[in-house]
Amino acid sequence: MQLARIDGTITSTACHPSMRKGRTVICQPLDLEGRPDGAPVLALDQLGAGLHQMVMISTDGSETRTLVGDERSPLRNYIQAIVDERGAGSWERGVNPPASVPTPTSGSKPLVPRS
Amino acid sequence: MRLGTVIGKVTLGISDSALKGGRFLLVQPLSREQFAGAPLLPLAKGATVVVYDGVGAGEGQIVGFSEGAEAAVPFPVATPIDAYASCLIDQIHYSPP
Repeated sequence: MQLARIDGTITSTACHPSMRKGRTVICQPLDLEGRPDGAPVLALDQLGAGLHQMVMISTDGSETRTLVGDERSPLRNYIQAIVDERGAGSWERGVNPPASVPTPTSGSKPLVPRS
Repeated sequence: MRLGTVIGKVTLGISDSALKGGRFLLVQPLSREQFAGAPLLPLAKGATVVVYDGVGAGEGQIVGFSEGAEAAVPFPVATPIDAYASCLIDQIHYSPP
């Protein structure tokens, strides 16, 4: 499982039937400080996550096949949960962390002060 | 699943019997700028992938392809394939914060 941020969606008419069971969104995997880490991936969304929301995506095909209910589905990324708050510090949904993001070793000061 | 542009086709001479009748595409993965709408040429850097065509994609189209063990799952018999084109992209709405 991986933390990711929803950066967009795609539309596709010709696709594998298992992809019609939900919306296909573009997820940007995030590192510990919440910065983009690696290339964006496509994930199947059945929870209705909004744009720029942080989500938890599964990175294992067998789990996704059981959740989608199709044993022949080539999908791997599936949105399991929409994250409200991350433990390392509090990050408001849709708000960018400030430029000077504290490194983990500098204590668990909240990334964005809770209003 | 990653996105990529179809830049060519691969025809197999001698191949595994399970791959008979398969259609293989040469796909160049998109860079983040191309997600946001940058022109597809010049092609992004990165390894070109040979992808089994499950949706009938033509050259210049953008496909979503899954890699690894999940690519061999759609086949009824065990097939040595590790990249499978599972969707043909019509529109990409990409707007990072």
